[in-house]
Amino acid sequence: MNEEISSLRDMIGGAPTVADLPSPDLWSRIAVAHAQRVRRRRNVRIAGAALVSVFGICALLMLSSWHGLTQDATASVDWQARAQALELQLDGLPMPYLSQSPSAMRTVSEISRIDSSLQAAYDGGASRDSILPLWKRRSQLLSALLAERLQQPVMTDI
Amino acid sequence: MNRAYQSTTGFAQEIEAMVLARAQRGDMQAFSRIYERFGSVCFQLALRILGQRQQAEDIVQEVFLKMIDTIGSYRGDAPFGAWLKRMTANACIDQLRRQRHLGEANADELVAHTASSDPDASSAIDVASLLARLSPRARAIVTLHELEGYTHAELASLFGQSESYSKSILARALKRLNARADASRVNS
Repeated sequence: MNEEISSLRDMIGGAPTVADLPSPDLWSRIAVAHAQRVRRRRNVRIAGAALVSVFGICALLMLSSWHGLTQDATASVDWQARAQALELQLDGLPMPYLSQSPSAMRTVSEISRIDSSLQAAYDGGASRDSILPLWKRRSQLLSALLAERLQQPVMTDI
Repeated sequence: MNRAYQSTTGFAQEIEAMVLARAQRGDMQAFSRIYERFGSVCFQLALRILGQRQQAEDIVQEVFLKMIDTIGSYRGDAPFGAWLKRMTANACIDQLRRQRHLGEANADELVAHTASSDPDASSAIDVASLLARLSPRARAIVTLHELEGYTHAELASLFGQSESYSKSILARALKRLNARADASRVNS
């Protein structure tokens, strides 16, 4: 039995015949398939990189747009015009019957200081960004003063 | 006792360190040299297991493409031919799995196989015809054990079965092949 198996092994494992050899063009087919795979992978990488770039650019655009919007939202409040409108409103009110309260006097004093700062800033050619907070603060002070004036009794001529 | 027919199958051949180094750098000329040395033996192993030239060529292509991709990770722990042989055997087993030839069946069914091109018993002994009479699994076990020196433990791992299972398949397959070979000798 062992001899039979041994001869069988010899028979199966014998020298390859022509039929046991692959097609002569098999290597060229493998090389072509490899080149195609390399090309396909490179295209996928390029497409991936392009996609990431597009996403990056979109994200940057969205971010800058959002940033611009928030900045515009702050800047869109024209504190100078608002302060001037409040001043006109205050001027239109009748004079208070009682003397001004200490808090009102402090507010008026601060408004006066801000006016000086504004004048100095304009004289010094300061930038819009540095002047904007002064107008904003002046507007807030005028708004507070207006609210206080509206609560005070007024003197009526009979 | 298991005997590996490495000298005939050619997986025991070595490749020059320079060729290996060039291949690991992606040099296609080096891969061409490796193919010249191992392409035929890969094909013969695949042909004996699968029994069809076209499928065997597809396996060689698959193995060489995979080898090109993974040769960078080859550290030389095992001989290059052994590494390539294992890749080829695994690819063949995967192919059989894809064709659902490795489903559960009893040993007799696995050994018996009625090939559509069943040759006449009076014709000369033809190795391919003899192997074609076995089922794909039995053919794979005979080829890997008898020609490539795989142990039953390795076959068990490869096929996901027990060692006794591959032993049983092998014994029945060899008995069947011997009977066929004897019949052919008597008739000729």
